[in-house]
Amino acid sequence: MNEKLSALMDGELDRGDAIAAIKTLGQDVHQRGDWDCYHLIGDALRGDSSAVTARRKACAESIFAKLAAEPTILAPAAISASAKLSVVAKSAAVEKKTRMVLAMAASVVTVTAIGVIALRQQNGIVVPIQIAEQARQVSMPAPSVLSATAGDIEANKRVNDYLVIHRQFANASAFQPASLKQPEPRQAAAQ
Amino acid sequence: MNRAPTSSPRYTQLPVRKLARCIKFALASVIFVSAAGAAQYAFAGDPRNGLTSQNISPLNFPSQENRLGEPRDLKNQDALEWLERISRAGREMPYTGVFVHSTPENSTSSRVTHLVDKQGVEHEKIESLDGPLMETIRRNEEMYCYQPEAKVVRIDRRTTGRFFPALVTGSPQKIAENYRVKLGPKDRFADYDCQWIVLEPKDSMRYTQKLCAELGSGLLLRAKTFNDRNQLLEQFVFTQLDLSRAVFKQSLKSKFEESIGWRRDYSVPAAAQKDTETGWLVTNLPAGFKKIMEMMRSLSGRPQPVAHLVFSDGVSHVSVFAEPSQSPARVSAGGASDDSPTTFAVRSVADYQVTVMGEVPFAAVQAIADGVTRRAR
Repeated sequence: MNEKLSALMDGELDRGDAIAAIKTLGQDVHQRGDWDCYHLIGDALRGDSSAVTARRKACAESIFAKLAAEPTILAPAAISASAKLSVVAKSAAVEKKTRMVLAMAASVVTVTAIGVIALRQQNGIVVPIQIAEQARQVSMPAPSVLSATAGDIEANKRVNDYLVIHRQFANASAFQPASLKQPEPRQAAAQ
Repeated sequence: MNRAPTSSPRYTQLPVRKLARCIKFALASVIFVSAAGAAQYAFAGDPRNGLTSQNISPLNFPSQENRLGEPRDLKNQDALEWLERISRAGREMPYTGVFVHSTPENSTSSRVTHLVDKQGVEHEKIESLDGPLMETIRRNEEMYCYQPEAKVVRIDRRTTGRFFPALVTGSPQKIAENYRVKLGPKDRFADYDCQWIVLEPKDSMRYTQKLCAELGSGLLLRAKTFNDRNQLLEQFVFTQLDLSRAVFKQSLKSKFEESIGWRRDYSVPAAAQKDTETGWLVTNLPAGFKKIMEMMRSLSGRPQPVAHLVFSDGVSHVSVFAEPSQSPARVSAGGASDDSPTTFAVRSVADYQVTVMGEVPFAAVQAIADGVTRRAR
């Protein structure tokens, strides 16, 4: 099922298969969620902020579900990552929840956030502010998840850790509702 | 005409005409005084005069000041007095109450209890009332954060955290050099009357702070942080407060203090190492930011300690972290969004990755990041 979807995304299906796949996509809520998800990840990695705007709640929910069992980075940096998302997704009220959920979705966030983390708004316009070298690498055609290197993940984790230190647990729960539920979150994340 | 029975002739004989003249004079002086007051507003000094400028023209007030009415500039002496009261009340007063902290992301409530004991030690307890159980106990600068679900006590020093209602930490003079201090209307929260004080940044290196200080004591009842587009980034408000009842030291202990078998997580060095030389330096700091702390921290999962420098303008804090970078730092990123109070910038300096983070506009973390250098040996 998901292979079809992936093939459809990459334009690898022939006309007949594509029509069938689109039809299924139209009828299947789960598939639509996956579809949004794949695009969100792809867009984020490409640094394509305008496209991220369109993604919906379903994606975050499925990420959340997958992450229920995963170790979580002590996650307040997600405020930056998720707030980045919020910039692009401001219009829809539902996105509020999405952002929070993404904030908790540590391991997936480390992948998606690489692209998203570097968005900020300038005079109401979303602009990627990652400095050129990174931006260029990320916007290479057809990037894969592998383009989020160990270096990126490490960097993102650092920002997470620093945020915990910087906020000094003050009102920390406003920033990281899930993370404290994980025993020894930092060590889990470090492994 | 009634006459006072025993008073001197001078008063008792006051004729009606004279009395009328007297009233006219009094009226005239009232009119004159108010005209003078208005003139003071209209011909206000140049705001760039800093401390000596008392007022700026009402025309310069930002139009978005709607909800609070039209705040007017405070005379320098009054501004300093308000800041001093706010800062002293947060530091010295005994209080216990419940406050709500909110960001555009979320909001949570906490109970805070505060007391300075006879030995002069400041005690504070913050209990989270929503979400995971958490208690933070502070004794002067030592902080213990109990997280019962993870069975962890995290031990730290107070450096950068924003602890309501003690948000104003710097000297009033220094704050007034970088913020215009304005007087807003009166208001009421948690059954106490308060006065809005607006700290309006003089440059783009900090946010606007709107503070409502309790009339009697100066204790903050509500605090709001806005960016330059007047978007609310963060706020605190007391929903319940009791300033009349005594606070006892017993109530400032954590109920988890006696728990055994918890992991102790020291992310901070011993007190003696508070002002360690880390080998890092920030040049060209934005106006008003001063280093308040410098230390090496050990983070769990990190082979090497991390340098941490803290800067403050008296209201906002900025952290500078530097650690050796194993992988070549290809990430030179930064982030901020319209509705997140904390911004950060990442940069590599030699073989180190430097991260600057604070409750300041992105321009400020970027400016600070640009000034981070290795100290010459």
